[in-house]
Amino acid sequence: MIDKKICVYSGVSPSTTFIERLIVGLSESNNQILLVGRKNKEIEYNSNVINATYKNEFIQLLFILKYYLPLPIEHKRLVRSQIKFRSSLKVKLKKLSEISLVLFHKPDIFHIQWAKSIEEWIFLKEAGIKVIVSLRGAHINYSPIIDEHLGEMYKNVFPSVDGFHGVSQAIIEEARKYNLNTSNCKVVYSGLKLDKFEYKKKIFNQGKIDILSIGRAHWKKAYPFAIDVLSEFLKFNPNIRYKIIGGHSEETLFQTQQLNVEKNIELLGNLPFEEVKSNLYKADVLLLSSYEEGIANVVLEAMAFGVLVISSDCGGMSEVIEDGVNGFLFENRSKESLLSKLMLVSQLKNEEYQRITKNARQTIEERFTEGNMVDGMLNLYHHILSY
Amino acid sequence: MKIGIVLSNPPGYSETFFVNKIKFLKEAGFEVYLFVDKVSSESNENCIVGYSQGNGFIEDARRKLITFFRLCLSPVKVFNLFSQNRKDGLGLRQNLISIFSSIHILSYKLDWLHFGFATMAINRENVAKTIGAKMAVSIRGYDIAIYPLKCTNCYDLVWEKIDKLHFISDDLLQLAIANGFRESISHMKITPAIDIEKFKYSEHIQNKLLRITTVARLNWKKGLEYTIEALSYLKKGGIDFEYSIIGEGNDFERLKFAAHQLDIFKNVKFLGKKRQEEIIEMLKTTDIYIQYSIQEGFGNSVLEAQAMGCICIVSDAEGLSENVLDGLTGYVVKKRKPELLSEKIKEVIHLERQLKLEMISNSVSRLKTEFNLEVQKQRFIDFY
Repeated sequence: MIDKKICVYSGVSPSTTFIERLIVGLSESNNQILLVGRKNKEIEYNSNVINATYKNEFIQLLFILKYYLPLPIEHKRLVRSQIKFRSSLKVKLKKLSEISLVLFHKPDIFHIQWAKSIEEWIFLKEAGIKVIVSLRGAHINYSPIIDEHLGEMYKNVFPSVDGFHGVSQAIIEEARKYNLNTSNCKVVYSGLKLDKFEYKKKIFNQGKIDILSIGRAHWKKAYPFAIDVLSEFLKFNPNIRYKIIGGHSEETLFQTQQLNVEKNIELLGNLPFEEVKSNLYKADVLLLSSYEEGIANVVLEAMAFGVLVISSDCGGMSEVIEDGVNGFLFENRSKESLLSKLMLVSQLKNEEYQRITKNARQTIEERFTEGNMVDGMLNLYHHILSY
Repeated sequence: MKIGIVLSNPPGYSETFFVNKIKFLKEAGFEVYLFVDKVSSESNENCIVGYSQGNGFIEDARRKLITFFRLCLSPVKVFNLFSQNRKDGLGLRQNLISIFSSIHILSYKLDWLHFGFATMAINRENVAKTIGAKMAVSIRGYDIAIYPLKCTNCYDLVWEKIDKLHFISDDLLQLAIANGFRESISHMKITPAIDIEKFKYSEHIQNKLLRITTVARLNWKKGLEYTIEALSYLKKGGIDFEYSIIGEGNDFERLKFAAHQLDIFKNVKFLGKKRQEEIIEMLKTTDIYIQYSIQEGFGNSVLEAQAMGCICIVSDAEGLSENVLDGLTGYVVKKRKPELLSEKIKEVIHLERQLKLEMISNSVSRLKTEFNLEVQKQRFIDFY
């Protein structure tokens, strides 16, 4: 597919790591990429990326003059219909500038990264723009369960959406609860730029194991659960060390103190990327204790590096990890299951450890590369545009 | 006698400990002044508000002006406080914070200055001495069990200056000692108490469906995720129930999703915040009351549930094992062990009716003698 204009919309620039990877990957094709939203930091992209993000309200006003005024009457009407029910002036201004900009550039595809904002953008179909939604993590897996109105909104709007990108097969299954038509869905896994993730063969020492978790201190990461299990595991193997990067919170701090495991369990705040990377290189095991994930990028990265992964089977994790082959899976929220996997891993021989991590690297090379991700996404766009 | 109580907000209607304390002291002829950082809409208490950012430009300017006048009113005291803080090694910034956070107190002449939570006394350690009052501090849970983890040795200066410590359970006193409090300093236990007339025992009608209740903020300290896990084991074992959580908080999403993933979504009702009368009505039809906290100063709601004739199962977090006597007035289960909690619930379900009635009778008579408002009132007076 060539010479199409695709708007990748996440609302902010730069966006999350995986969305930025997608933008960079897509910009290496022959298509034009349009970015809309608030600019928090200047990022350099290829020349085929139209970076129409704004820093402040003044730029928004300029955008309105530049993009709203030249619009044809029917599009002006469309813009007005979308902002009239907005209550605050700030939101009106934001929507007016963003919508005008999108209609001015008139992309072939408007790709929304976060499902919750679909209601605000589905009207673009009236302007002949195809609307695609990414199905990612919390937006599908728990927000509509907690908030019934959101679930209802999905049920009403999803049938009108032209296409869906699922970060895993599991999330597409979950989204079926909300009237999703699976014929216009495609799984496109997240992918890594492999030259940035060098595989390193590790020597695994059964006696002393360094376990690492990485991720923000959010309840869905289930750090208290992991600490409970690791405290039990310490009774069998007092030589393990468990470190959580990003997991420092009042709750985990109190827990490690109450369980008297501060010596073995270290809680750190957020660290710069390079430090996270060097910690990951040094670790023997990457533990993903999460209750909910689409597909956790940190697992893909650990597998690429040659670090053995123990992961909960939440979300799409079983689509990456085959238990005992390229890592280990435990039953989500089951302490016994995680404990038994920890026991198993602690008894692995060096050759077994290396066999598993090598398989893991192979999995990433075969299915989770940036190239696969971009090809998969372009195929989805092509499929939707050929309707 | 004039007593100043320092709190962050005026006590809301549900904070019965402070509401009762103020009421009792006034009834006993004490003059009570309430010093707060911010006002809240919930309280009718007259209070003296300290320096804080106002809502909107005019309110903010008004507060700044009041603070300026207060500074002008007590220049000697401000100077004395500044000097004493400096002697204690406070840097200029901390010293200024100390003065601005205490400026509303300095112009009062009091016999006692009582900090309602230990955290309220940090940076205000010299205020009581400056105004010629004795200094009392209450420890209530979070301030002694959790806050020092984030701020090591934060109470060293408080313990140096304090005249008397109030604690609500023995475990909390032990925590204070572990955090540097010396037992040679005067200290006294005053536990929460309840109005036996309001929370009156009425015999429960046998429900068709087992009803379990917890009253708690939706916060990690309350151990609600463990409780939900324990209840999921119950469901797996074929026991049906309705579990009501009364309270609101940040963990709503976390807990609702836990109920969903653990397959008890329909069994768990999140009822939000309720008025006291509504809670009483709920407790009338509750079979088992659970307070499986990770950290708990004492647990007032457990007293109320016991008074209403609910069988209570609590964790062994701090004051809870003092609140409920295991096997006599309810059950105490080791904290963070949902499988044990689940076993205990099953045990209670199968408990003979006569034994249940005996347990309830034990609780009610213990409440009448140890946790009634008259006893509490006398202790408040004795404290000073």
